[in-house]
Amino acid sequence: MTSSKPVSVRDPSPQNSPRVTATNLTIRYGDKVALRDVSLTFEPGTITAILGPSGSGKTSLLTSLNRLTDLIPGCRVDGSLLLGEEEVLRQQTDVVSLRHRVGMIFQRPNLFPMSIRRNLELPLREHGSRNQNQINEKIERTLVEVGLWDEVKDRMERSALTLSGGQQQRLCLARALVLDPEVLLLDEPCSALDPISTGVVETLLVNLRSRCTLIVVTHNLAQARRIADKSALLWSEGDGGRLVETGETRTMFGSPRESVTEAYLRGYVG
Amino acid sequence: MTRRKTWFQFLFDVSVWLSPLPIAGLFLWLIGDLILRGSGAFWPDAAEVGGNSVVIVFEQIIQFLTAAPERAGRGGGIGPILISTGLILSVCMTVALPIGLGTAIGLSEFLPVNSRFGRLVRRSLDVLSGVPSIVFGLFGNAFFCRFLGLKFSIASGGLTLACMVLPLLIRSAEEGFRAVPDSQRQAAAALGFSRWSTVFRIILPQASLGIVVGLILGTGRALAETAALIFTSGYVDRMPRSLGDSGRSLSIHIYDLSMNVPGGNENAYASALVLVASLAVINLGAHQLMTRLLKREVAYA
Amino acid sequence: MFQSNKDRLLTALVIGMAAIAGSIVVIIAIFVVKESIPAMTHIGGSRFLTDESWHPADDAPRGQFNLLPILLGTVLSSMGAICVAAPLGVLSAVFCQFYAPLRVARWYRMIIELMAGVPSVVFGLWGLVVLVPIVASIHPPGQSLFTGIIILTLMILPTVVLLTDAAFSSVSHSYRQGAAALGLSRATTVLSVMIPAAWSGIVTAVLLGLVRALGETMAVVMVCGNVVRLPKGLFDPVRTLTGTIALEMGYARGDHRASLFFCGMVLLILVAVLVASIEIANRRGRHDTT
Repeated sequence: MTSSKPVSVRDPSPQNSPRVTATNLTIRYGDKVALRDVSLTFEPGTITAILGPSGSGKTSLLTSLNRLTDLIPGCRVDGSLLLGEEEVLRQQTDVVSLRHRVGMIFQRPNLFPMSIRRNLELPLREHGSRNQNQINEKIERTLVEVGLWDEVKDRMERSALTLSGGQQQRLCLARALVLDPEVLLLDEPCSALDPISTGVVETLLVNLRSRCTLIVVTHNLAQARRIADKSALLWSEGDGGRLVETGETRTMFGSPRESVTEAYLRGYVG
Repeated sequence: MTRRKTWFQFLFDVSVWLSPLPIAGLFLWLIGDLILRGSGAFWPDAAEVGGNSVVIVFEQIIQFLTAAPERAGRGGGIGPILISTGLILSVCMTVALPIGLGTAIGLSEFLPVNSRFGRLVRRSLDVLSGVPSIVFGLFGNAFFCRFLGLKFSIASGGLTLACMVLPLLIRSAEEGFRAVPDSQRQAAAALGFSRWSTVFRIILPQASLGIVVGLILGTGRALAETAALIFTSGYVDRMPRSLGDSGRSLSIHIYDLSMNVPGGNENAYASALVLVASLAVINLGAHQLMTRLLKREVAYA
Repeated sequence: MFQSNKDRLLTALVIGMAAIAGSIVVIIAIFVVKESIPAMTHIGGSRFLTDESWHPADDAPRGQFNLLPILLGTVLSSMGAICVAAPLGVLSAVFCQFYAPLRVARWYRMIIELMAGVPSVVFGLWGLVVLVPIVASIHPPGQSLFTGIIILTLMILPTVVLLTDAAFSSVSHSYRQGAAALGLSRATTVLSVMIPAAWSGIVTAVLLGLVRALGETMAVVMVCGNVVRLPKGLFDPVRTLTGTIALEMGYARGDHRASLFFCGMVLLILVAVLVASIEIANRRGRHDTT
């Protein structure tokens, strides 16, 4: 993986987003197994929803994809994780560069207590951008992309924390998008938002398919139905989450192959 | 039987209501006495009440704060002593701040949560904060004055005080770091910030309030210290010309005037008033900052 | 973990600083012990207790090194202070938490916090100029164990009150609610429910107050009289370990100096024992707080 180079505008098209392939992924926290032997492929330019009840390992799977699991003491990730052709789980992997290519949005907006402008500038400068004009241009373009430009263009110097919940989450998206990630990981991005903001964010996510691969962990089956091309169901019997079923969302919801899937989708269990 | 219980409860209630009285009473007596006797040194004598008495009082105060002591301190002022005190504090903070901050960063951001080394360091800092100040004086004398050859000097005194305030600084800094929510660290990590970038750009700015509070409290603690300085920075009451010169701190001056100089009580009280007033300002500043710190934490919720 | 070279250096730096900070207390112990070795070898333990008096000389054989009156001075003054400060402090913390109206409690806490910030020389100055003459008029000489205990009590009260107050605050609210629901009187609630629940915190507060009293130097020197003699009554002057060090370090050489370091070592041991007891008390009482 190349070391960080200045952010340049990549031609956003599905061909540029890599395929993400997880093979025999097992995640442990100390002795406890959170995810057991999961193999999944995330196709470029698609939205995949990861479904399942609490404790099924959804968040563990997500956080392993950008090696955020490194932050958790005692966490071990075994198996293989390919970003395109490159193995992510190696010791020598440049995680800083990895997280440039794989962005993440969290359940609750976690903006820095700084101005809106600075929240967006900091990641750009951190990864090497120096040209102020280029930076300003990038910031404006990204804010337009997430639909925030009109709302914030007159208050760029004010604290980002003064925005509403929905606006903050969209700003988090913008902050991740300024780095032109190839993959975007989202951990229940709308669970803290009201229905209207949820709608706005969902529309945004669907449009983002044109420039990256999206992987969304969600509790909300209706949301998966609305936005996800593919879905994957994780299920745990108490000894670690396993992959139960995966496929086109419409197919999986319409005629699920596994009985567990059917039971979960109908709300009988989980 | 119920009657007897009520009698006992009544007695308890009375003792509880009475208990704060001697404490508050004696303390207010002390403060009142300090203010009265201390400012007594500045009131003009009956003969001098010619011009504006407020101006005269003001002049007397400035005179006291800047002039050199005369006749072993019975007369004159505390100018050189304030300089020495300031220098000792500067040495103390210049040494303690980087080490304290660095240790706090290491302990809270870079060592694993249950590391043995971390626990040992914390334990040793706890013990350090319980060491009596006179023992710090002994140590300072043996280590800085003799072993390192610094002799009785402002440098020795400052370095000894640095050892004393280190646990306080580290504890406050760690509090500051703890106040920064983990979500900030996660956000930075997800954006590809290296650990140290996160520390410098995200965590330190947000923890700065806690760090400043620690600095202020440490300064207050060092200012009040006497026993650790008697045998490290010395007794000389002249203007120091360098950090290697001996110089006495304000608290030592108060001690010397009241115990060793007959007739020195008046100036001892005046000096004590200056000392307590400075501490009051320092602690007020820390208090204001702390309330601002708490308000900021609410913003995260 | 992947880190650039600059990052690795910085990390090593802060770990190094933590090591330095952690080793200070060890270095202090080493130096204090090292400097007191001549006293232990030349004078020896038994002489510290059986010599005729305390008239130290720079050369061991020529001096007298009986520490007993000084040790007693330390113990009596500190114990006296804590015996007054502990009940008084706990009661006034009870006042603050359970009896006083909110505004009064806030004022009182502020006064106590102010007290905590007053330097010991200022306490000593007031004691010397105001208290000593008053005590002298009741029972000369004035500078005595009695005055020392009063001043020490005032000085350690903030520690006891603030820590006990914090201990009460951290007791689970459900205890208070439960007692109220049972219709218990305030006195009974405090005595039978709250104090037992906060017990380990209260013990910590009292022990830390004792640590503070043991270590106090300036105020004690200023009001205790500093005569090295076994006190025959409450109004006799006493000398403490801390006072001895403070008064004699200026001119002590050789074995005399070493014996002063020996006093320092004794102080360290006393403090270490108390801190260890606090640790034990805390470990046992952990179940009662939230």
